[in-house]
Amino acid sequence: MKLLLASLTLAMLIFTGCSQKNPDVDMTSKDGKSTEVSADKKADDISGMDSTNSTSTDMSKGTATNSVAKAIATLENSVNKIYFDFDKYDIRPDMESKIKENARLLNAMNAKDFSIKVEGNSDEWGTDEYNYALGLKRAKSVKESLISFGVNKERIMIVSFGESNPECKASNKACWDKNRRAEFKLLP
Amino acid sequence: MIKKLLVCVALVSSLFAYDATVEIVKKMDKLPKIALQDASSSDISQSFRKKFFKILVGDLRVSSHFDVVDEYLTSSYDGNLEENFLNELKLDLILRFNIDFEDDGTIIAKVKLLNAKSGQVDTQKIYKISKQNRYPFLAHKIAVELNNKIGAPSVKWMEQFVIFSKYTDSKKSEIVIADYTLSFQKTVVKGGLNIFPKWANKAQNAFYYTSYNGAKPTLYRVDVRSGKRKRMLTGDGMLVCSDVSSDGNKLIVTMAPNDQADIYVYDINKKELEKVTSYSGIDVNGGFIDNDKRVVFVSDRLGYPNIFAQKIGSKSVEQMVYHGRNNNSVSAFDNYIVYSSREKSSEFGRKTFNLYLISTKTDYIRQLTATGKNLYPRFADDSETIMFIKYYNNQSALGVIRLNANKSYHFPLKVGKIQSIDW
Repeated sequence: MKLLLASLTLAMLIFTGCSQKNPDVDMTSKDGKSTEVSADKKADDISGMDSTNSTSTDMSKGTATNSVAKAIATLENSVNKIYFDFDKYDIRPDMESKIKENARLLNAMNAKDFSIKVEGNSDEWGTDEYNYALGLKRAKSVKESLISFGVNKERIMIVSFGESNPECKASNKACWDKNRRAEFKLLP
Repeated sequence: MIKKLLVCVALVSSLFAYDATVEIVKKMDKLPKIALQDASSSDISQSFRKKFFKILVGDLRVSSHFDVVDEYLTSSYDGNLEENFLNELKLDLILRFNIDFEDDGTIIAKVKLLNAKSGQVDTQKIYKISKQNRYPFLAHKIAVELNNKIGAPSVKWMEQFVIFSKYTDSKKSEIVIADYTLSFQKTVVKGGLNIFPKWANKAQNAFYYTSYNGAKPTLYRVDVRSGKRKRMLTGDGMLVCSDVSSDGNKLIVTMAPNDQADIYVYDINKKELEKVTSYSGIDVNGGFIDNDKRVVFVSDRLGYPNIFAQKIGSKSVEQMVYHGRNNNSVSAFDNYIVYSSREKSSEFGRKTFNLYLISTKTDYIRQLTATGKNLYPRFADDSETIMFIKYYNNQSALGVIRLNANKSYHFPLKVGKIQSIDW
C-alpha cells in the first residue's frame, strides 16, 4: 500500500513538476495563455491514383484477335488445374497424369505456338508474403514437370498470385483444397 | 527541488525498463485515473463530439498509462466546483476539451488539464488540424502529449500513418493510408492488384508497393503528396519490398529472377541488386537487423517455415527460433523478434496462428495472442508496440499489442480483407 501511494505521489510530482524540462511537449502556461500546436502531418495532402492507368499490358490478359482469343479460351478450358497438399509444393502422385495430359494438349498443333503462363496460387492460410513464395514454388514445380513431359521450357513463364485469386471463397476444407492450385494461361 | 524531481524521473523510468519476453510485468502500481469532459458548444454536432471523445478515450486506454473513465461527460469550459473535482469518481486528472471549427474547416481543440485533487488548471493548450476528416490525428496528438506530460514512455507511434493493402475481390486490391484505429482512411492506389505497400522513409512521404497490373510484377515508389509514381524494379514470378533501411537508401526485396524466390538488397542510389540468400526452397519476408548489417527472414530450409538470420555478404545462416513447426512471418527490433506461428500441423486445429516474442539474449518465449489468426507482426519504432493483422470471425482487423501492459487491441476493417501492413 505504501508503495502504491509512493508511486502515485511520484507520478503526480512528475506531472506537476517536470513539464518545463521538455519544452517540445510543454503544456504549461504560466501566464494563463494557451499555446498552439498543429496536428497536421507533413504528408498533409494525400493523393490517390488509379493504377490501371498504366500503359503496360495487363498480366491477366493477352492481346489477341477474336479467333486466336477463342482458340486460347478453348484450350484454357481443356487443361487441367493442378492441385497441391496443404503447405506443399511438390507434385502429388495423382496430379502427375494430369500434367502429362496438359503437356500433350499444350504440344498439340493448335497450341504449340502459344506461350504458357503457369499461375501458382495458395489458400488463405498463413502470411501472404509466404503464400506468394509458396504459389511461385507450385508454379515452378508444374513448369519443371511440363518440361519433363516434353514442353519447350522457353514457352513457359511462371507467376504467383498468393492467396489473391481464390477459386472458391468459402472458408472450409473443400474450398481450401481448390485454392491450392496452379492454373494455365496461354499467350499468343 | 530540481534534483528531487530528476530522481523521481529516474525512478519511474527504471520501472519501465524490463524484459519484454517476461509476461508478468508490474510497471506502475497505480495508473493515474482520468476522466474526459466535453466542453464544446451545442452548435457542434453531438455525433462529431462523441466520435472525437471516443477516439481520445481509446487512445488513452491503448497507451496503457491511464486508468480511463469511459463515461461521456460534459462540462462548461471554465468549470465549477463540481466539474473541476468530480469527487464521486475519485480522479487524479480531468482532461477537458472544447471543439470548434474555423470558416476554412480547420478544427480547433482547446484542451485543459486539471488536477482533480486540487481542482486547479495545470495546463491548457490549443490544437489545430486543417482537414475535418483528419480529426483522429488531432485526438492522437493530444493523447501523445498528455502521455508525455505524465512522464510515461512515448506513444508517438499513435501519430504515424498506417499503410495497408486490402483485397476487394479476386486479383483486386487497394492500398489505403489510415490512422492506427482505421477511423481515418484514404485510398491511394486502386484498380487491379496492388500489394505489399511499404513506407519509403520515416517521414512517411513516399511508399513502395508491388503492382501486378503490367506484364510482370513491378515495384513502384509513390510520392504521397503528388501521387506520382516511379518504377523501381520489375521481376518475374514475384516481387515484394519487405523492408527499408533506416536511412531509406536500401530495400530488402524478395524476387525470383530464375523462378527461385530469394532475398536481395537493392541500393536505390546505385541501382544495384545484391543477392543475400541462396536456397532452392523458399526464402522470404526479410527485415534489416543489427544496424542494417544483417537480415532476418523466413525460410523453409528445414522442411517447414522458420526464422533465420544472415549477415549481408556472408553465406552463414543462423536459426533464430527453436519453437513451432510453421513460423511464417517475422519482424525484429533491437534484440527482440516477433513471429507468427501455426499451432497445429493441419489447418483444422482450433487454435490457428499466434504471435510469439523472443529475445536473442534470453531463452524466454512469450505468447502474445490466444484467439483467431494472428499474422504479419510489425514492430513500431520502439520495442514496446507491435501491430499485426488479425482474422477473427471472418473479419480482418488491425491489431495493436502493448507489450509493457500485456494488452492487445483490435480495429476491424469494415470492407475487404487486409493483405499486408506497414507503419
